Amino acid sequence: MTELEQALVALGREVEFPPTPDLAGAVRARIDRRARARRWLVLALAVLVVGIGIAMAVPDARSAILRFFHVGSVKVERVDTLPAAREAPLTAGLGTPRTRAEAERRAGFRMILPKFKGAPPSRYYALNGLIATVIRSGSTPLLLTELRGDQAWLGKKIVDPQTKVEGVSVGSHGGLFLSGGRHVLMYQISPSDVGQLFPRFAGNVLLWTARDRTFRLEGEVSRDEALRLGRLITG
Amino acid sequence: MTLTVEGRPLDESQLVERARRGDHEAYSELVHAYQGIAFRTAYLIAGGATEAEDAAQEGFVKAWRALGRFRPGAPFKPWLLRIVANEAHNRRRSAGRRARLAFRAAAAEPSGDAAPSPEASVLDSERRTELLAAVNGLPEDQRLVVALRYFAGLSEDEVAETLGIAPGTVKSRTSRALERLREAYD
Repeated sequence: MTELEQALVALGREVEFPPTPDLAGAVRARIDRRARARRWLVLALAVLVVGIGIAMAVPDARSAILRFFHVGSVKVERVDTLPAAREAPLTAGLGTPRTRAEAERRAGFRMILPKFKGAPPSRYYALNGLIATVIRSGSTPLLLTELRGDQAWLGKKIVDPQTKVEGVSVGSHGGLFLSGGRHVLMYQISPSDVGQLFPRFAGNVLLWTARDRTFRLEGEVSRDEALRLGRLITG
Repeated sequence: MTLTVEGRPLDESQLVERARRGDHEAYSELVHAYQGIAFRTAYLIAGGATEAEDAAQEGFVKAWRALGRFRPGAPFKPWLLRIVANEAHNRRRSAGRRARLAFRAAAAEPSGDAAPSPEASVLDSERRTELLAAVNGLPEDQRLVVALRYFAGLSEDEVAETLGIAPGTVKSRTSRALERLREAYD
């Protein structure tokens, strides 16, 4: 190194640089937010159909869409007038009850089901990419639905203005809890058959994603109890 | 003999690999290790503290997103600084300014009690003022190479990677810059 270069190095030690800000904290906060947003995105793709296909098939909803909730990339449609729906049993529209093995064959995947206290469920319902069964919280029946992660066309939530939609964490997994008001659950039998819908009013609902699956727990259940059960199911 | 690079953690490759697998904690350690050099690099390019902070922060976030494309085993610092430098260039262009380097307050008036270091003794007060003015007066491409090489302490290869130019270009710009600076120094 020449004398001039040594002089430049010495000069560099005397040059004023502004103090380095705490970038580590700011960057960590941003990548943490991004990770949460990605979990929401998976959830959106898996359960809450953001395309307009189903909504366009329901005239009441089509005319009355007011705005969207944006949670990350998730959109939950809030409307002032719910589409025509009816009170119906939790398993309405899900077809014939089957054994677990039969349901898994029909759905095309094996269900992740934890060991609950007491006897395991005996009735399962299946559509392509979806398995559902009824579990109990005390004496309260709850519909547990498991969807393969890529089944983005299967379900949609349309909520009225009184429905509370909040982001929650189920263990380390992101999710949504819908409560109060009324919201309508619709199933679509196939992507090409948008007319065959089974709209019904739904109870409180916890939605979350884990292990490339989407889980849905519905019934007269509190947020805390739903989260407890969610953690039991997917850890 | 073992040489260590200031600010570079010894287990960098492990941290990078963990970060590539999505470990936020590992990436935070990398950010902590490199935030100083990233900020100074951004400051030299962008010309302002606010722009530099924005550029460095955005650079770290973009680097996190791009970790999947990072070649395992490659040096992390120049790869990161290239991303930060791109962000700083964007902000400098929009702000239309360049950093005018100045002495730290303490360095401008060195204490008469303190014994000068061997390096500091190379320059007396008048010559270092003239030399810094000469650096500030260099064409931007030469000034950046000199500042990154001698003030920020990057190697020639790191300067090349950071600025996205060939090592030969770094050499030629450095050579032309030193030629100009010699006039102020001699």
